[in-house]
Amino acid sequence: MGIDIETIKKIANLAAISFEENELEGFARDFDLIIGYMEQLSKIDTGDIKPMEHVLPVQNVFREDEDTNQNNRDELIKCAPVSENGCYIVPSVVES
Amino acid sequence: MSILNKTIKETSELLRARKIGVVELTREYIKKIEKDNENINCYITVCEKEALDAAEKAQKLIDEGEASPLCGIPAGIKDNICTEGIRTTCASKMLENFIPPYSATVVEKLLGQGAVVLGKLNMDEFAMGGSSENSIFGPVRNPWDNTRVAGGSSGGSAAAVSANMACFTLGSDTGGSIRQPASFCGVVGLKPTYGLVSRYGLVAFASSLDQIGPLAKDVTDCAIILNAIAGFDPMDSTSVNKEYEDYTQDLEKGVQGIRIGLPKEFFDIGLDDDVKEAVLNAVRQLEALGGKAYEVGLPSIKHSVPAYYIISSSEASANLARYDGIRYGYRSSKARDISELYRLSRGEGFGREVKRRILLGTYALSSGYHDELYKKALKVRRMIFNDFNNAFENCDVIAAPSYPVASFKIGENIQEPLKMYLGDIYTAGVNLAGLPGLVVPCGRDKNGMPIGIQLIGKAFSEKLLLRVGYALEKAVGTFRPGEGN
Amino acid sequence: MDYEVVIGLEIHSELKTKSKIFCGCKNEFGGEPNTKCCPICLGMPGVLPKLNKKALEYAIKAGIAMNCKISRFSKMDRKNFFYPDMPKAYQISQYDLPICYDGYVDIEVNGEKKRIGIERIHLEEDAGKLMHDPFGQGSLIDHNRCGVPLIEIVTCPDVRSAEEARILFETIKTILEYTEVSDCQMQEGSLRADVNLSVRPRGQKEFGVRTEMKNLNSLRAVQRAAEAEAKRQIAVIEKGGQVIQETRRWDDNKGESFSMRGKEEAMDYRYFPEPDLVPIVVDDAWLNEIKASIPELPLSRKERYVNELGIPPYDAGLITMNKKLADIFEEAYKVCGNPKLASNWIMTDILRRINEQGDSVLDSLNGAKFGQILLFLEKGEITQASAKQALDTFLETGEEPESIINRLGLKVQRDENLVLAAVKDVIEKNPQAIADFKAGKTKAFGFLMGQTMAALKGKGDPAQVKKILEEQLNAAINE
Repeated sequence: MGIDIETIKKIANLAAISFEENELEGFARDFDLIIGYMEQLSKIDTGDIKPMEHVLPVQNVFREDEDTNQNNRDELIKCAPVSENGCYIVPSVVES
Repeated sequence: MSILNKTIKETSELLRARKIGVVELTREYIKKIEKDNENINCYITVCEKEALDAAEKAQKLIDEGEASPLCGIPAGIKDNICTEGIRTTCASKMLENFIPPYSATVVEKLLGQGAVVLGKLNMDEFAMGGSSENSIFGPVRNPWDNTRVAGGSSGGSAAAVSANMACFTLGSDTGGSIRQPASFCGVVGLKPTYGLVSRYGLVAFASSLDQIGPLAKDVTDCAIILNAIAGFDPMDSTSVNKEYEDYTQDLEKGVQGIRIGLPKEFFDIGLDDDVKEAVLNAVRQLEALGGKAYEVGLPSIKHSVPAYYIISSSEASANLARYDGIRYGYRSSKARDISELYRLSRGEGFGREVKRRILLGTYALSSGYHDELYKKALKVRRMIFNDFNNAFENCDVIAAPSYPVASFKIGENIQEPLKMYLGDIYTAGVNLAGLPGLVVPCGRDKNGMPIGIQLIGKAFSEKLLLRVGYALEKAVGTFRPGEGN
Repeated sequence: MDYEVVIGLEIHSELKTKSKIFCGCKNEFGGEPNTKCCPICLGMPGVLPKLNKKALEYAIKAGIAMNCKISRFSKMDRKNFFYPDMPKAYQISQYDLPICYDGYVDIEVNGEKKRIGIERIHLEEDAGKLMHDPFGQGSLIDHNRCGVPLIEIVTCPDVRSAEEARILFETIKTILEYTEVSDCQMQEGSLRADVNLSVRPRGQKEFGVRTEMKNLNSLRAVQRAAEAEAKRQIAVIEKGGQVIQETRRWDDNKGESFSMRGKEEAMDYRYFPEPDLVPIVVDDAWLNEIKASIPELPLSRKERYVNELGIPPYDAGLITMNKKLADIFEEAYKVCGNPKLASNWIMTDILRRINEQGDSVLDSLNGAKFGQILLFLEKGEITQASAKQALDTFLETGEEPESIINRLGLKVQRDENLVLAAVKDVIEKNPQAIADFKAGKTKAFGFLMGQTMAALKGKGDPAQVKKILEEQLNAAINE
């Protein structure tokens, strides 16, 4: 299958990344090549092999239910590019 | 010989013998960085004040006689490992001004031992790349030849050790990012077993593959650093709770009777002759010392590159979704609504390779492709895991190249992403299987660039790997640029 | 045409753990914005989650209480989507292996029992809150709620009316309260429901196209939203139109719902297993331990009250709908030995107090102490009026009932001489009433009785007063 500019736009939308119109073509070309290569996976006969999410044989790692954290707002919010009165700010999110 | 040439072990002995003070030593390194960083470009941030403060504290510990092996040793940290109060950029515009209010567990451990952090090291943006050219701070240059790459993504970590701009460094390895630059710069690099070293505070690229590891001047140093950073961390659910091991013990036990597996798939095609010869020569050296070489098979390893790229990019697409310009990091000033805030901040804040990986991962996870790409890659991952297990029935360590070629020219491959990806064929499978991989310098190519052999072990067999690496190092010697070896 | 409504609920309930699901921040409603946050729940670079064991146990507990099967092997997944109050831009949730599945709850509709299937219950993290900035152009984000543990309960589409939907929501709420996994404070958003609804001509097998109404936060809103949506869909079909699959927002003030079309456009959550968290394995021992911690559930309690204690079904239903109330009843009747007395008092006096003062009145009502007051009443040592007075005082001061009764002198006055003196005094002072009584006006007896009781400051034993008053009146008539 070929990756065209429309496909790139669709994925970019899902990933929330903007692209300049003039970058799109080159990007789509590289991407087509890469996907073409990756698609060899779909041809591999994996039989009844199960997907492997974790390599470690580790399970049931939990923390106890204890509240251990102190309020550290002023320190943390310093990292924000924009803030006001202890709140993070975004352009208005209006429910349609 | 300059103090900067010395290993951790040697430096530590000089510090204890009061032949040099920690502050003086730290100033020497900072002077060296000031002189050479413009050229090598391995440091993104140098934290002189913090380093000198730490040096004074370390000196006190030494004076009190309570010093650990890393006490007073100047180190560099890859810039994707969080350091409290010191900016951690991931070589990205996205985090150019990010100063974390916390440190990674490994950093806490190093500081706890009295190590002196000199600064933060250059890399491929978000650890995505194999040449350290994908950095908003410009490419890292190989100390052996400044027109060539230092490898990646931990290129700054490898170059800093090689150029004596740090006594040792930490890097991270997701698909070869410690081992390949170690090979390119002629230093020792270890990618530990998944779960041995805490990932807490390592800016995530691909969570199921990432590991932090040491880059050092020799194998002994590597073991000393591993002693300091390995171990269970309650902050990391994937960190393994196992008994403490002293990795410096048994280094000198030799390789008598050790079975060395040579995967035939690794030496078939696409491998540079010089690299092949250097690796096979190293194996012959080990045989001469009593090791036994066997051919082993890794039939599925040929699929490791696509499986690796699908899995790592899928995880990355989620791990890097948090960079939205709201709580930290770059925020576009052009955004008029929330959707633009995301799209523009991310579009402007991420470099080309990072965007490519995010899109690849988003594509592989999206409905319609999830099963044939992502899920299939997870199945292939298990096949590769099984391959290694089978191979280890017939050998104790696997010997392999680290990369198909030695260091290449800056700019040579940057326009060909797929070609770059294919280079990960010897390293990515090791991450997929969660195994440890140690790179030890073993030769040079026709251009005089170093070549490292990769020794792959069973899970948690670091001790044996270091022992084999140590034997090899004793046989072939260590490699320093500009010393004519 | 006759239509059938088909409804399924998705209920989100916050779990009342001390700390958040993946970090040590306080799990507590309200407070200054962003003061209950840390790098982990803010999704800062490099941090890692670690699962709160209690949160998982609460989810399992809720599942057992709703007759679910518990997954012996389960895992957490990432659900990817961008929203300003979701710091990581993915929600850690569960996709194909929810911790609980395949259960049911029984509800009572008009006295009939009906079984509603529970498709699944999964564990996930809550998001933060967006607020409109009153001074600026933008929205403000408060992350205090980020990472609060949440279960999502998905019911089967077994509900057939708006009323049933409300009853189901209420029944599940009660189960969550009984198992003490959630405080179910709907006004604080700790319990909220989405209503999935479709209509079809009665008799048709296939489901109609369904819509989803999100974040309904009261029992009433669930019923009203379902009623309105059923009506709207039927109207669309009757006009020859087609219902569109969409998410709608219910406006409880206006009493209507609005399309949120566009918002859901091509949602592709790209679920995949959370690599930062390891698999969850539940063995028999652990499961049994959790099972043992589950108390008797409301419906079973109700049946026991009706069948074994002889409480009227309506009363038993009301009492068991509220766990605190049911616990008070249980303790009180055991102390006073008369279940009906206890239930009558709850149905009148206590419910009135709840209506006047809200649920908080139950916090100061100790069931055993309440039972002690009722025991004094049961033994005839205090009157109904004194019992009320004692209860008032108890709720105010928390003093021991016996001490209240002694301090206020509430014990019944049985000294025959004193009662006789009071009766004589009343007869002497009320000649008109005596005349009326003689004339056969029985009403006058009640008046005289009241006067005597008042003279005894309400502490007379009514039976004794009545007897002596009758004797004295008869004597007066015969004179």
